Amino acid sequence: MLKIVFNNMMRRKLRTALATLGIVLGVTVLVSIVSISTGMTQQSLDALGKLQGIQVIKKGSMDPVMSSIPIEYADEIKSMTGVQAVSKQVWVWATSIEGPSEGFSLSSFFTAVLGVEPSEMGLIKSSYSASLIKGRQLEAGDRYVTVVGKDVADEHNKRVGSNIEINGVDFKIVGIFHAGSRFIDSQMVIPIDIAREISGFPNDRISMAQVEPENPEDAQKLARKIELRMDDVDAKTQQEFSEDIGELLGTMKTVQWLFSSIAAIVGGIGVMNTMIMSVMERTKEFGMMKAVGWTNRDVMKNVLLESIVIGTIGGVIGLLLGFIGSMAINTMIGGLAMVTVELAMESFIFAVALGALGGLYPAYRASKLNPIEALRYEG
Amino acid sequence: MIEVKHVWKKYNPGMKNEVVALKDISLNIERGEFVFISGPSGCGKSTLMHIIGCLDNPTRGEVYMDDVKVSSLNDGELSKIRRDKIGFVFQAFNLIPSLNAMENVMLPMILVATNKEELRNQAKTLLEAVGLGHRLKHKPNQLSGGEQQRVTIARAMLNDPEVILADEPTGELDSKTGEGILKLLKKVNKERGTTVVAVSHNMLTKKYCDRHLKLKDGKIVR
Repeated sequence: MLKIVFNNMMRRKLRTALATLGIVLGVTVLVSIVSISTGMTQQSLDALGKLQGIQVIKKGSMDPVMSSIPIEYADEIKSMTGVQAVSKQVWVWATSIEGPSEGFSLSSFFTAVLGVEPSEMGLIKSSYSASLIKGRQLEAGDRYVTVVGKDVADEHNKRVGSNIEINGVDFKIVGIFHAGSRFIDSQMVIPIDIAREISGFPNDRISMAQVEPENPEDAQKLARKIELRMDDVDAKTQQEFSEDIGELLGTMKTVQWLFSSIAAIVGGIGVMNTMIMSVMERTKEFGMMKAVGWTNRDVMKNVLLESIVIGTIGGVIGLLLGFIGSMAINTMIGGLAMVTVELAMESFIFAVALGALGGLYPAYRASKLNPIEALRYEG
Repeated sequence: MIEVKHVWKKYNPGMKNEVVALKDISLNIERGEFVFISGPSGCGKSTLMHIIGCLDNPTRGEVYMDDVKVSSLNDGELSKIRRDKIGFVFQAFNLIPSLNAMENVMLPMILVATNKEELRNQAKTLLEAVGLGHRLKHKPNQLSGGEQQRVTIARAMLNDPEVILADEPTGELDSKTGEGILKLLKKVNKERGTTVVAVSHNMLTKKYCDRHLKLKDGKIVR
């Protein structure tokens, strides 16, 4: 039957190609878009895996960069039982690194400048100090110095001892860290006073207080205590952050699937249109097939198989193009898209199912043709 | 072998535009007979052939094939009878354009044959028997009308059917080629003992048949 199917597809090459193209485009869009969300999920989870202690930020803030809380909160938290240390942090975006960037650059897009109190660095566990690969971390008395993530150093071709310009101010790189997460490795750590100086962040406020519990197992309990004491903050442990972000990315993935599905469904309608035309053109043939003993089911299988083959070919090509597309995205904006085996399988099954769905009605129509009327049909 | 008992066929029964195509037709066709049915256009000869060929059901009356009442079988059972006991030859040949001669001959059994090699050999032998041994891989558009009709006869013979039903087998052929087709049908009828029922306007068919039936206004007049 496959040979009959392929022969028939080759009869109207352009039409078959266009129907396949519909599926190809749908799957390509789907793979490219979902691969970005998958990659972002992985990056976020990697970053969250490096988080330490409890992060206290303004209630409802999505990110420390958007948060601002009174500086007294840090001392208040420090006085609570079960708290070992607190680090006051000011987070600002790097609006320019080595001068205004030309065009879009992912690293500058994600680069947050993190201002910390150098004397507090040794008191808490931080993903920066834990992953220092070159140089040293900030020390008391440091002024215009920075410890940068490996991605920043690589992108701007900097080493320990090099100068780097952040928001128009020169800093000397004293250390480089590599946490293995794109989000963290795109950050820079500078003294908190200097962070205030280059951003105008008020002296009586901080972006975030990072809290080191005495006993890590009590982190969640301590976070709740902090939230009870200060009702305008969110105190979150790594696990809670993971849950929040996982939920957010899950929603994002669903929305992306939805958009991609619209593109793919257009492809499915293309298959249906092609198959309806094909069935109409071949009405006489189906009449003859039935006359020589093909059952309704045989005719249905024949049409359905053709649309499934279109879906399969479209799925394979779409998957390949989507993979190439996501690699192109990675080349352009660096390591963001990720095609997992799961995504590849889902997209492929989606394409085949779409082909099958597109062929279902035409197949049913062909199977129900009256052989005599079909034989008399003059299309 | 084929028994048609008091068969009526009405289109749009009970409606204003009701057409009575067959009126109380009864007829017996014996095994190995060559029956020629003629009559003017619209007399019901094709309808009769469709009913004998299990492609259509009578409005009233019964049709038996080898003592099996085919007029009350379901679609699946009718398909099996058409595949195993009946071979069709159509006026317009009705070959699949994308398949070659051999594949067209194999078509009735292509989905059910367990031994494809045997099926291929059978198709080849049949095409050789109808004089197309040199055209096995040719597609229909590479064959003349007469050759295409020979392919349909080979296809009709594939399952060694009990009856070949030919609907205007010479209708689209010139008289010389048409006679060649009639000779071929007669050869199949004689050598294989296959019953042949041919519906045609071509009176040359009379020369090759055992019995000639004339249909007029849905009735057998002779």
